[in-house]
Amino acid sequence: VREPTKTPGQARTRYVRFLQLPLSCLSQAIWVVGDSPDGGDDASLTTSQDFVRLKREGRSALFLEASQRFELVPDHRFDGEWKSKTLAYIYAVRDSDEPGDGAEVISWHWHPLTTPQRPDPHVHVRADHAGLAGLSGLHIPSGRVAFEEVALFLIADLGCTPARDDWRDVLEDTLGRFRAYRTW
Amino acid sequence: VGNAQAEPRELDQDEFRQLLEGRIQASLGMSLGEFIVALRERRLDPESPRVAALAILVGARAD
Repeated sequence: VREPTKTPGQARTRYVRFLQLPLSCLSQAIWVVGDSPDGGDDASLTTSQDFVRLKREGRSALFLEASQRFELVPDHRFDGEWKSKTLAYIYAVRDSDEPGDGAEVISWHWHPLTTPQRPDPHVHVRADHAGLAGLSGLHIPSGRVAFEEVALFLIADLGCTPARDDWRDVLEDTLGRFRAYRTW
Repeated sequence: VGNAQAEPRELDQDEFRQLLEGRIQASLGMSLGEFIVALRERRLDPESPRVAALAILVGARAD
């Protein structure tokens, strides 16, 4: 069911509320939202913990880092309505909660405003491979990746323990909503 | 496990700056102001993992 928003404030609230759903499939962590200190009218959101601990049955825990930057714009598809427009995202899987770069294992990046020379979404795999020197420094083309897809990958492929029973329905629903209303 | 869900939280300007200060200090050993200046002066690699993440949170823009 579509939820129309008539003001920028309503659009901001709707955006973050729907984004909380996939996060709630992984953890009790919450999104925290604020105006970007150096970003004009842009807003940013990140998780309440710098690195969200993700339990795994019988295996070492993983840690999720997630950040987004967005703005609120008129939604030209629906007269008088507003929507959020994502300007950048970074989702990273880490093997510890140490803040250094070395803990990152896999990450999904899109940050065209800070790296105009690299405007497209990409993936980093921080690993070495004997047959492919420099793998960890490559920017692997990815297309746009939704946070819901990262959450699904963490549970289904990396074995992270879901934080709610209905995680499959929630991710299916919110991913469907993302795909229905995305503009690119 | 259940299906309980916590609510996201809006931070005011001071709270959000304070959160970013803490993360920048912990990761890079500098203040928010120093981080913004260092980005503008291109003294940090905007593609290194922590810098990239923190840069989008502060709203940096490479002009």
